[in-house]
This record gives sequence, structure tokens and C-alpha cells, in this order.
Amino acid sequence: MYKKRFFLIAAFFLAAILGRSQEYTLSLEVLAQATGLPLDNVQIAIRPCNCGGVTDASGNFSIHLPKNTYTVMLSFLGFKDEVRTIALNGNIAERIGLYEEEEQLSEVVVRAKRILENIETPQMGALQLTSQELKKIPAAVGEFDVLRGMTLLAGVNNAGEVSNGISVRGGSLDQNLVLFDYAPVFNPAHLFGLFSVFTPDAISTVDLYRANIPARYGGRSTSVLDIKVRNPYTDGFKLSGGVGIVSSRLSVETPIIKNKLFLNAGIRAGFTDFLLPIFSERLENTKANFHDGTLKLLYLPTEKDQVSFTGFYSKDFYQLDLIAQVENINASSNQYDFRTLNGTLNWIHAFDDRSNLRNIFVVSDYAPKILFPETANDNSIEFDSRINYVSFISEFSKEIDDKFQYYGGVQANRYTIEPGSLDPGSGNSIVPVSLESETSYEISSYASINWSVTEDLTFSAGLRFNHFVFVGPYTQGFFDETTGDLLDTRIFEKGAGVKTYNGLDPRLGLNYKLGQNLSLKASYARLNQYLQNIFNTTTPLPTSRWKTADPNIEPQQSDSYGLGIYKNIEGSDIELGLEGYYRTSSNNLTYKPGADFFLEEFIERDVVQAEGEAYGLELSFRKPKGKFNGWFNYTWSRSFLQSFNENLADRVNNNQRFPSDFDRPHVFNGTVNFEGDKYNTWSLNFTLQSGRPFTVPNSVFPLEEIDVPIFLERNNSRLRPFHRLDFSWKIKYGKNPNRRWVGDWTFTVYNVYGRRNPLNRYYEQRQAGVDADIFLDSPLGSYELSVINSPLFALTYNFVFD
Amino acid sequence: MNSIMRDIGKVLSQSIVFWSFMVVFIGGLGGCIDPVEPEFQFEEGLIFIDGFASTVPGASFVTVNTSDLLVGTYRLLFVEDAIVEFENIDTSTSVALLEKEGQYLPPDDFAVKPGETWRLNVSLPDGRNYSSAMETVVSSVPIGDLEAVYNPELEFREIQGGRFIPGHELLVSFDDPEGQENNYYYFYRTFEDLDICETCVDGYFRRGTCVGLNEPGPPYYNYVCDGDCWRIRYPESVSIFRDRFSDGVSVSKLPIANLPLHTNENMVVEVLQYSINGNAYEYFEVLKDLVDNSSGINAPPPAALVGNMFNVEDGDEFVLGRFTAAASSVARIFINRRAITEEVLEPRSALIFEEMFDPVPPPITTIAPCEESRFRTGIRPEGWIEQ
Repeated sequence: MYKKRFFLIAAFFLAAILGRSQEYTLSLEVLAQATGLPLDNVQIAIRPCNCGGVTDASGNFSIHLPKNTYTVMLSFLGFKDEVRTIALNGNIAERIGLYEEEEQLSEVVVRAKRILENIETPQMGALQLTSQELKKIPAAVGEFDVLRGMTLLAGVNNAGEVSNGISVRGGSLDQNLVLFDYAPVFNPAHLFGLFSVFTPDAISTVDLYRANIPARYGGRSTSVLDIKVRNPYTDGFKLSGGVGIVSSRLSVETPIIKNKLFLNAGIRAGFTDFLLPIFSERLENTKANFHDGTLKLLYLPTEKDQVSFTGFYSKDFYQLDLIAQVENINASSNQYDFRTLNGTLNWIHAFDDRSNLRNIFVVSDYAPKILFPETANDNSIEFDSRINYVSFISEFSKEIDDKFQYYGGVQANRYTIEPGSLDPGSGNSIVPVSLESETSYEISSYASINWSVTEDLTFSAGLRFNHFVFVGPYTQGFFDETTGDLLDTRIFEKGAGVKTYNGLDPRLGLNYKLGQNLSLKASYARLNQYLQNIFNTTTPLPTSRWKTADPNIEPQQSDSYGLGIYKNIEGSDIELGLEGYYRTSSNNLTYKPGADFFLEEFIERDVVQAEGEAYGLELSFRKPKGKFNGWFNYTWSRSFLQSFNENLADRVNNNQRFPSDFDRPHVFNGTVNFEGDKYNTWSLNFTLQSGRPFTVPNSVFPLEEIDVPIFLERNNSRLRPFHRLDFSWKIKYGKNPNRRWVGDWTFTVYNVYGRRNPLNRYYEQRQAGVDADIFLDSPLGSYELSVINSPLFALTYNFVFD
Repeated sequence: MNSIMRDIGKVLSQSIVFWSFMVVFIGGLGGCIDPVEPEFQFEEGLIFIDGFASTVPGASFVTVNTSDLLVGTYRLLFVEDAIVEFENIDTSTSVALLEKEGQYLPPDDFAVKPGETWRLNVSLPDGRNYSSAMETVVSSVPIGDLEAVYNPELEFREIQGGRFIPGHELLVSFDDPEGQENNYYYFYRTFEDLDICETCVDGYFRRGTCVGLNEPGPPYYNYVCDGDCWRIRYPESVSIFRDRFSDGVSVSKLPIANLPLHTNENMVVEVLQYSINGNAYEYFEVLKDLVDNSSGINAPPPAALVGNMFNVEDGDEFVLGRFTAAASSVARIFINRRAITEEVLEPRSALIFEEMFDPVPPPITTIAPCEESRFRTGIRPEGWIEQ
């Protein structure tokens, strides 16, 4: 008995020892699926042992368990839960990727979201940046900037560090249609062109169409920049914001009526100009304040309908000594005050999962002013102008099957331009002036198909027909061709047709797959432009005049041809592209020497319409995922203009072809993000490009005691090359995954090595003894103006509460 | 909620660091203007004709110059032996201009009258013929008031690293005639009290010129003017005004010039308000863009300064410059600057006069004449007040 008991005890311990010896190690490495970065503090629960733990900083977790089949549950804030069944019959090491969690939305909201995504998926030929990508780009003084971000893409450029817009493939700034939730934005920049106006936290995606421009877009001759406001598909309250050097911002996203009515609203304001004189004596007279706000309301009345309203407001006030004053108004300074007020009402009705009708009503109103404080008293003279755009779009789209989709629609636009009025206020130093307002209509119909002819060949074709009418009241001037003198006028009554233009815009796109990862794309697009910004400078002022086509100014037209080859390198998520383009354009606007459009009644006297030619090759490399991600691109391109004028004094470059202001033969952009762990993201951005063309004198002529530079050519030289390195470091903090307030700091160094990139070079009278070692025996002094002269450090605090 | 308040508190405390950071680092956005070696693409053989027919006797002139490159060095050459004449269109008579000190001048008593129409004709020795468009003399508008307002921060200049300089702002007031287009061009001269008429660096003054020292001596010698003398300065910028927005109103305190505080000597400012036609205004507008408006961020593209002159045989030749016939009104103001304490732009160095035993030949000389020129006069300017 004793022996038997001993044997049983021994057997028990042996079994226990043997059992113990049958334990295996379960090792898990937990990563974020999108970035491949390790996730720490991931909670791991294991059944049936009811054991578990959390991952370490490297995303690792290990445990010894007896042989068995286990259910392992991984959960981490912001990521979808992952459940794995693991048969532990040996040591096992598994790498588990967690997917970022999309919001847990109700079925109603998910359906609405899917309908919208189907409609708004960008078409072939679009370059897209998401708000996440834009936020990674190091920005000047920490200001998140859509337009500056776009200039890092191939073929996109601007006028320099201050630019009221972008130049796409050598086109001018006003040849791009900038849409913010379908509403055109006529002045997209704050602070003399340093930052774009779009409320940062409101942006969802930015699509740039520059080759195969969809037929639903028209009205500008080079490109379409389509910025979408985030739709507040949310079931919970979310507050986010930031405090920065130049501005601070706050936004909120919340349902108002559950599953019915949602709100997304954001504001940004910058009022720190009072500090400017501390930094530079030159800025003593500078004033610069701005604010903007975006509001989006989304209403889901039925399962098949969604109605949204987007409102956008932007306001600027500034005074800057670096801007030449308006002539012939006796004032101590010029103060620029301008605001944009846009609204978009969008109703989408889904007939079924594959067909939709969308109706959009848009109002864009831009009202720039200049205030002229008088020298002799406290009165301010006021210049007011305005452009008001009203548009209605109705579009039906249908997906017949996976291979064939089409859409068609109509669009009716009304442009009302108040070119300007001058209000003397309480003073009597000027007489009131008011130019006649101008009205025109643009009625368009369009249709487009997208057809996957074979598995390898996709074809898209679109056609847009535009009927443009310029109506009275209008006073048409007739001029002496030689002297430009006004000979006669003809008056049109209100509503009377003055001039009609019809335009047919074909759009074609072809995508041919040469194997699994190689494709060839070709495109053609014709675009007609009926509205333009008149400015006889490199970049327009906010008050630069808008003008529709009329009897004397014909619509601009362009024909763009594109051919590209694209390759995705398998396994490495690398995208390569080589794209060539050729564009001819007609009726581009150039201006007679000395042209002045301020409150000018007959501006056509100073406008010379020019032929344009642009061509280039764009090579791009993109790696969107991984610890290291980013892109590089190199562009070789040219852009020329040529105008013809009989009168010698009015000729531009003596009627010879000349490089346009946006001719940049070589451009290299590189953006690299290093997401080392989930707390730190480092980004570097480098840009190198040929300098902007500028004009050097052909002679110097003394007039009285002033040495006058004589220019007979246009853009006959080039500024020094432009290059700049930017750096940003984003630091997330707070390891508690359950906290609702998440903050991060972004440290940015813009222009790391303090490059003084010239914006302009000009010639001035020499002052006795000043810079004699540089000017030597030159009759004139020469200076370069650069806007940013040293590294700009910025620290921004951002937060999200949800 | 407590955690939110904690976070807000943390943000506020960190904001002290933030603002300190901001004050230190935003300076780079101030903009910067750097001198660079001037670049030119000079062209030879350009012709410049600048002509002016005035209602004031002795103020009319014509210059004819051509551009030239000599061993890569650019220069402007006065064209000699040209036939130059003012042609009165109303009377079909011509007044010949004669060559004198780099100009072609009409007779001393020549003056045009408002309402007359004139043309300039130039024939070069090589046979090329140039004419101007016809110019009708517009009646002048009297200057009502002329003021000079002192401003210690008159304008920002790129000297000594960039700073505001002191000086006077010149303001005119006048009544613009109603119902007609009026265009104004402003020209001024300042007459500044001058007491040192010559400074010889590393030399001494004898027989009207500076002679180099043969042995070590003072770095320079100063010589006092031998009588009353005034330094004359001219505009550094172009000033124009058009009554586009002020037809028939009283234009009050229109700034027409900045007069930097070169010295704090007293001065008289003589302002000429020319009435010019629309075409001339547009020419001076281009000139202003080239001279004054080229430096800003909204600088217009440079334009050819082509006026109303043309080659009679070749309409495609660029003829630079302009013939202007205009009437003017004049006003003067005396400015006492002795009490101004701000630093002058041309500070005077310590005076050094010749003394016994200096390495200069006798006799000891301490005075120099006030030689008449465009930049100096011994004739007391009208409006001068002896202080």
C-alpha cells in the first residue's frame, strides 16, 4: 500500500514535471499594419488560461503556456481588435498587424459614407494628397498649408515664397480652378501669399487634375485643384485644435441629431502681428491679421438621400511697405482688407447602389477692399470691389457594371463682377467713382464614360460644351489701333446680349496595363477659360481685378497632351512614374508696358493676348508606406509666351517669344518621413529648382539726375536657383491608450540652412559710398529681395479630444 | 474632466515656453534686401533723345545720346553735329538748337506758350532722321501751398544694414481745374547752405584743382567757400499725379518728395509743377515703375521707356526718351534744419585746414571758389532767409 501510494505520488509529480516540460513559448510581435511600426501597450488577453499582458516598446510580448489551443485577443486604442486562434503545440512566434480603426459608425452613416465615396473617388489622372500626408510636410512657421504642399508634387510650382496661388505645368496662377467643396476660391492665400486660406482641420483630401481633367470640370485652362471638406460621418463628439506661432485653431465634429444631422466646424485666427516690429525695424508699419472658418452640416433625411451644406469664410487685413502704393490717391498708406464668403448646398440621391443624382448649388463671394487713410485728416477713402459667382450643377452618374460607368450633367454659372468703386468717405479730396458691374452666364453640359474595354485597357472619354454669354449693362469701347485712343462707344442695356462664345472641350484618357505592375497612360484635354485675374505683376494682389471674356478679351483656350508610364515595384510598395506633356494655349493675358488696371474703365486697351507653349517631363518616385515613406520627383519643363502688337511702345519682348514667369527648366522635390515609433515622426523636405526668369537692363539712361534702367526684352535672365530644406519633428505623448485627450507637439524648421531665396531682383539709384565694393563701376545698384532670410523655427501644439 | 483640465493647465504652462520660443525665432520672416553685382545685357547703338520745351526761358533743352560698348565697357555717347530743331506746328516755323556742353539748346529767350503745338526734329550726322509726335502745351496750374514736414523716420533705406532715415516730406496743395484731364509732373531743386567748397584727399588745393601730396601729410584738407555758396540737389525719384479721382477738387497735402537729412544745413526747396498731357503722364508712369516701383513684391515687369520719338524711315527702331512741351508753376519754401538732432546721412568729418609747416607749398590756402555748375551756385536762391 505504501509502495502503491509512493508510486502514485511519484507518478503525479512525474506527470507534473512532464507536463511542465510540455509548455511552449508563444511570442507575438504587434505592428501597425499601415506603417509597419511596432505598437507598445497593446493589451493581450488569452483564453482559456485567462492570462495575458501588454506589449513592450518594441511591440513584443511572450508567454509560456502548456500545449493547448488558445484564443488570443489583441486590443489597442485607435486600432481594430484582433482575435487569433493559435494551436500551441510548439514554440510559436507570430507577427500580427493591427488595422487602424475606422470609427464605429451606425449602418445609416456607413451607407451614406459609401455612397459619397463612390461618387467622389477621383478619376484617372488625379494627383492626390490626403490631409494626413499634408500634415506631415514641414510648413513655414508651422502653418499647415495646402498650396505649399501641392508645390512638392511634380509639375506644380508657385511665384516664390509669397504667391497668391499655384502654377501648374508653367501656367499662370489664375489658370487653375481652385474649388473648396465645389465653390471656387478667388484668393486662396493669407498674409501676402505666405499661407493658403483653407481651414486646416476641415480638409479631407486634395485632388489636382492637370492632364485628364474630368468633363465635370471646366472654366480654367490649366488645372483643377479640388479640395474637399471632411464629411462629419461621426457618432461621437470630437474636438481638435492647435496653438501656433502665427495662428491658433479649433474644430469640432459631432452629431447633432443621432444618425440624422452632423456638424463639422473649424476656425483659425492669426493676430500676432503686434510682435513684428520686435523682429525687424522694416516691419514697423506692417499690420497682418487674418482668420478663416469652415462649417459643414450633413443631413441624412432618408436612407437614400444626403444633404450637406458647407460654409467657408476667410478674412484678411494687412498693410505692408513692400507693396507699391496705388497712384493718384493722396493717402498715407494702403491697407488691404479682403474676405471670402462661400456656400455649397449638396443633395445626393441614390437610386440604388449604382446610380445617383447629385444637385449642387454654389455661391462664392469675394470682396476685396483697399483703405486709404488720408494724409490731411482722419478720413479713410475706400476702394471696394467684388466678384460673385452663383452656380447650379445637376449630375447623374451610373455604374452599369464593374467595367462601364458614366456620368452626365449640366452646370449653369452666373458671374457678377463689380470692378470697383471709390468712396471718399467724409473727405472731399476725391470724387466718387463707380465702374459698371459686369454680368455673364456660362451654361455647360457634359458627359463622360469610363470603360474597361479589356482587363488591361481602360478608356475614358468626356465632352463638355460651354455656352458663354456676356450681357449688359456694358459700354463697349472702340479704339484707334495705333494710338489706343477711344474713338467711339456703344452702350448695351441691362440684360442685352453683348458677346457669346461657344466652346467644345473634349477630354480623353487611356490606361493600358503592360503586365501586372506596369501601365501606360495617355490623355488629351481641351479647356476654355472665361474668367481671369488681371495683374501686371508676378503674383496678383488680393485686389487684382477679375474679368470675364467680353467683346475685346477672348476666352483663353488650351490643348494638353500627356503620355506617361507608371510602374509599381512589387513587394516594396514603390510607385514610379514618368510623364510627358505638351500644351499649347491661346489668348493668355499679357499686358502692355505700364499697364494700370486700378479703376480703369477700358482695361482691354492694356491687355495683349498671347500664344503659349509649355512642355515637360516629370519623373516621380513614391513610397507611401513603411517606416520610411515619402516621394521624390524631378521635372524638366519649359513655358513660353509670345504676343504680337503693332505699336512699338506696346510690344512685349519686341513680339519675340519669351520664357513665362513660371518657366522653371529643372525642379527637384523630395519629401521623406521617418516614422521611427508611434511617438515620433521626423520629416524632411527638400526642393531645388531653377530660378525664376527676370529681366536685366539693356542700357542705362540718365534722365535729369536719375539713372534709368532701359529694358527692351522680357525675362532675359534668371534669378539664382531656389533651394530650401525643411524639417519637422512631431512628438506624440501620453502612453495611456484610454485617455480621451491626445496631444502632440510639432517642431518645425523651415529653411533649415537659412537660404535667402530671391523673390525679385531690381535696380536702383546708387547712393554715395553704399555697397561700392559690390556695385563697382555700375551706373546702378542691384538688389535681391528675399522674403525669408533665415531658418524659421516653429513650435505648434495640437490636440484631439474625443 | 479633471484630466482635460490638467492637460489645459499643462498647455498654458507650456505656452510660456512657447511664446519665449516664438520671440526668439520668428525674425526670419522680416524680409531681406541684399546688394548683388548688377547684371546687364548691354546693347550698342540704341538712340536716346530727351527733349523739353518749357514756358520758362532758359529751361528748354534736347539731349541726343547713343549707347556704345568699348572693350566690353558700356558708355553713353553724346551725338555731336546733329541738326536739332523745335518745330511750331501752328506757325510752321522752326527754332534751331545749338550744341553746348553736352546738350542742344535753343536761344536763351526761347519759351513756349500754353496752347501752342510743337514737334522735335533731329537729324543725325549719319543721315538718320527722328521726329516726335506733336505736343500741345497745357496751361499750368498754380501751386496753392507748399509744406515740408519733418519725420525722424521718413523712409526705410538699405544703408548701414537697413534703417529708417530722417528727413522732410514735401507736400503740395492746389486746386485742380474742373472738367478737364490734368496730369502733373513734379521737379524740384534744393539749395543747401554750403561752407566747405573743396576737400582734397591726400592732396591740397591750388589753381582750381586738387594736387597730390609728395610727402606724408594729413589725410585731407578742407577749403572754405570764398563767398556765399549753395549746394543743389535734384530728385531721387519720379513724382507724378493725375486727377483721375480728383477732378475739380482741392488737392491737399499731396506728398511729392522725400528730402533726406543729408546735412542739417538750412535749405530752400524750389518745386516746379508741370502740367503735362496724358501721353506724357503715361511715359512718366513707366519711368516711375522703372525707378521707384521695381522693388516691391508687386513690382510690375520692366517695360521699354519708349515715348513719342520715332525714326522717320524705320518704324521698328526703338527710340528711347521723349519730347515734352509743358508749362509749369513754381513754389519755394525755406527749411531751417539747424535744430534737428537726428544723425545726418552725410556727417562732416573733422575740419583740417592748411597750416604753417604743413607739406604744402605757400601761400597757405584755406578758401576755394564756389564754381557755378548744375550742383552748386553762388547766386542766392529765391526764398532764402538769412539766419
